[in-house]
Amino acid sequence: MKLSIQLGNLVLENPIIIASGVFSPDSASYFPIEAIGAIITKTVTPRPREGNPPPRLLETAAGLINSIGLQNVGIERFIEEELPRYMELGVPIIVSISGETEADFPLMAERLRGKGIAGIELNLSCPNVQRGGMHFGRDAETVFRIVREVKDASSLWVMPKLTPQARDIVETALAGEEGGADAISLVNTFLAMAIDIRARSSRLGTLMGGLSGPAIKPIALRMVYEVARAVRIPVVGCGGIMNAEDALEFLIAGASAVEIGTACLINPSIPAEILDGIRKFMEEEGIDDIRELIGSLKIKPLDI
Amino acid sequence: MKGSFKAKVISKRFLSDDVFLLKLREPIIAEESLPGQFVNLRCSSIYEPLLRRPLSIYDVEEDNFLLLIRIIGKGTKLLSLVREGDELDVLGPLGNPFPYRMYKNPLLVAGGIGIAPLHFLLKKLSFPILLFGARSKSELYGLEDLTKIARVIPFTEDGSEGERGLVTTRLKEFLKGHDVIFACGPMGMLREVVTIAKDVGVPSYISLEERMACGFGACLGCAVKTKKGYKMVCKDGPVMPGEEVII
Ligand SMILES: Cc1cc2nc3c(=O)[nH]c(=O)nc-3n(C[C@H](O)[C@H](O)[C@H](O)COP(=O)(O)OP(=O)(O)OC[C@H]3O[C@@H](n4cnc5c(N)ncnc54)[C@H](O)[C@@H]3O)c2cc1C
Ligand SMILES: Cc1cc2nc3c(=O)[nH]c(=O)nc-3n(C[C@H](O)[C@H](O)[C@H](O)COP(=O)(O)O)c2cc1C
Ligand code: FES
Repeated sequence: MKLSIQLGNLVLENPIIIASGVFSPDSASYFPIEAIGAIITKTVTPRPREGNPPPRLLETAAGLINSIGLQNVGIERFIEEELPRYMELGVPIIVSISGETEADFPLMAERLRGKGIAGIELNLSCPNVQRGGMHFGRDAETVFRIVREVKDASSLWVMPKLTPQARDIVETALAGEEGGADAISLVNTFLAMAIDIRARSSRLGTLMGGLSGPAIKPIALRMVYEVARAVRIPVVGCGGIMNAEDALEFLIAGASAVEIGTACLINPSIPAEILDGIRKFMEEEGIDDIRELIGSLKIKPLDI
Repeated sequence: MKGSFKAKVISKRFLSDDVFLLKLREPIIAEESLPGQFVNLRCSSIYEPLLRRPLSIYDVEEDNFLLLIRIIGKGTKLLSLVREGDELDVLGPLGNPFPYRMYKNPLLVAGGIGIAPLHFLLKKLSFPILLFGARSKSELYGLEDLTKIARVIPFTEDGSEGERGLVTTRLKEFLKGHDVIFACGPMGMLREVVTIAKDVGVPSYISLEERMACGFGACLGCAVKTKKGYKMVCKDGPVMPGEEVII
């Protein structure tokens, strides 16, 4: 049975990728490393960030709102202290980067050259301080420029991660492709709120946070389908994947691989369980190569 | 790999309308757990509620461990409905214990359900002093059993048991001769404990709570502010030095 997939020139043993923000080298012992196709690091930024004030988490119906605030040690300490520990795991490591300005992205990509990483994911769901805090990923033009500059600055494999807050998700994906992206991942969390009705204030330490988990899956799936249909580069699907069936839906919708976020926090052995479930499904369906599943959605004539 | 365990429910016993003791069987957790550590528990086999719920280890007995649980929402309500023989998905033991081996004569301070981790701690010490406060007698959970393993000084806000008032009212007095405070309870109580400990110049260790997702340090969700920046309650705590935490 063939489970390996290709994201441009990056070959993964299987399509299960740990999404950014739900893994740390310290917690590696909780994860079934051998069942993981690739790990995306917690997003790193040019300078250290202490993160947002608590509470940073709020459970909602079938979902989780987080406002971690990209807490991280900054690229220099990351390269020195954390990256070697990621690299020891023996799994392809994709480093998630973000910046405060567009120019931060290529500078960080340059710093990551020659470190043996599998590639870079661009976290575009963060505020652009030069444009009034508007998220980079809102605007297709910006995504195009960032991807191109990162590609120019390094020979690394690059995958922009789209935000569902994009004005037009398909247009944004196409802009990423035009900029030279090797693959596209989507989606990041949905901007969300929750209010304490007695205190008349946010139930999080910040006004807004990002919604993840089963609540977002149907919308994420629709976006992945639309993007996969529009671009020629591989798409990595993400959003609310809790089990093998969910993962298979994304593959059938056109994703070549999937990222698992929230589910890892609840059950860190989930990557192995999902992979097993996919294997079993392929066996039942008589499918020998997982690539046969990718984009295999049948569309009724009326749907078009 | 440190996976989660399927722990079998051995027994469930209500101590009041909304507080119950749950005994679960899992030899590895029972063997490895130290006082102050917690487990992160799924309350149902489906993802509803979505996240696990953190609960302190109340005790261990041979291959079993016990939890003292107060029903405050849907997760704890579901847990209160489990039956003998059911299996629960448990991750743990997690977090850092009270550093009880480093001190000779600790004073323990508990408020209400905060007794949970201190009960386990008491059993590792030889008849220590425990100041145990609650709103009223019915919230001094397991008081009778506690008096067999510690010198318990109860406080209630309504005077229904022991001294009337907060557990911290006479803390300074009781602190004489002790070289450390171990405390768990509501934020207000912990704040007071830390202030008094600082005044007297005695170290304090407090067990903190914060909303959690993973419980093992991956999500950076359970942040608490400390003098050294944000720390994670699940990984750097839940027991933390009182002097360091900014509460
Ligand atoms: C390390 C640690 C150890 C803990 N040990 C114990 C223990 O031994 N026994 C025990 O009974 N509880 C303990 N708790 C608290 C317990 O985890 C929560 O009570 C539980 O998660 C609530 O889940 P729920 O689904 O019942 O409530 P939810 O439906 O999640 O919440 C119901 C309501 O209570 C509020 N709430 C949720 N959590 C808390 C909290 N921690 N404090 C105050 N209000 C809250 C919510 O905001 C909401 O309004 C511990 C917490 C931590 C972090
Ligand atoms: C606690 C938490 C932290 C996250 N941190 C990051 C991050 O640092 N960078 C990023 O690109 N996405 C981050 N995400 C988003 C996830 O990678 C993922 O895109 C999103 O949660 C949707 O997938 P899910 O429903 O499987 O979780 C985070 C999500 C969670 C729940
Ligand atoms: S709960 Fe995830 S880091 Fe503490």
